Amino acid sequence: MKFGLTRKDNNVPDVRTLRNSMDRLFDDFFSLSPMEFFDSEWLPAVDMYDDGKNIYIKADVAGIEEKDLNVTIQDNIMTISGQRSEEKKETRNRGCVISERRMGSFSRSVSIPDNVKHDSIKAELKNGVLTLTLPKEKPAKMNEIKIDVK
Amino acid sequence: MATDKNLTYNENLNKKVYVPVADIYETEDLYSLKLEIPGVPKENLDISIENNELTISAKSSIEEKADEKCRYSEFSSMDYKRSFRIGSDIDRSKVEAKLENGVLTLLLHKHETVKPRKITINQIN
Repeated sequence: MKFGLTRKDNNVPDVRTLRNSMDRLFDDFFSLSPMEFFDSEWLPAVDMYDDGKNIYIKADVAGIEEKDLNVTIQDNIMTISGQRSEEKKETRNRGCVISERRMGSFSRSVSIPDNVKHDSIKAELKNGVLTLTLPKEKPAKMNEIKIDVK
Repeated sequence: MATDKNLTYNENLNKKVYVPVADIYETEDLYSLKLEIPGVPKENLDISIENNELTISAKSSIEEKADEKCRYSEFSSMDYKRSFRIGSDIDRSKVEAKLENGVLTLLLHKHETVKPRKITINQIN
């Protein structure tokens, strides 16, 4: 190879993990692109943690600026949506060698538990990772109802 | 559904190493390489060129706390590593790197000699 910048196999075996091949199988099966149905061209990866006080949701939104991100909550469903776009100036007059990154709009929803304080949800964007902190309400005291048995 | 995760395993460490997705564009003057490495701060990034091989390795700074229960995980606490072969048209001393919003942009400039040159024709009457 004399010229250019080219892909190199990082000693990656062609047959990767079983999960990947399963993903591929499903991708092929759903080749009609069901995501278009949900108005999303790609889906960001999401992590969810719980430390007792808060629930943390992290989303991989690499390359997306704060102004292009939207977080909404409705009926205990949290939706992260936005758009990943290349600067127009950059894409023009350019020969594409490898294009693997997913561009365009996305929308991903996760259902969250009932006991989250909706008013005090915090969102932070750092290094391409969106972190949402959802504080939990103290567990409601059990209302004891005494029933006299006659 | 269609997650674009390519996982490899570092056999020595038995830790997840992810091959990040990339975009490469070529112009007359340079190659622009973009890699998605969410969760990586500047100081955890290592870029090296050795024997026509450009290697980018990065470590995510997302830590898992002991008291945090992981409910669901698709991407956190991963290491990233990817190599590319670079040709002799690329000037190794002129590589620029920029990290912004989890996307690493590398600009690899071409040698002056391989850039297209416009030759002016002088008309002699």
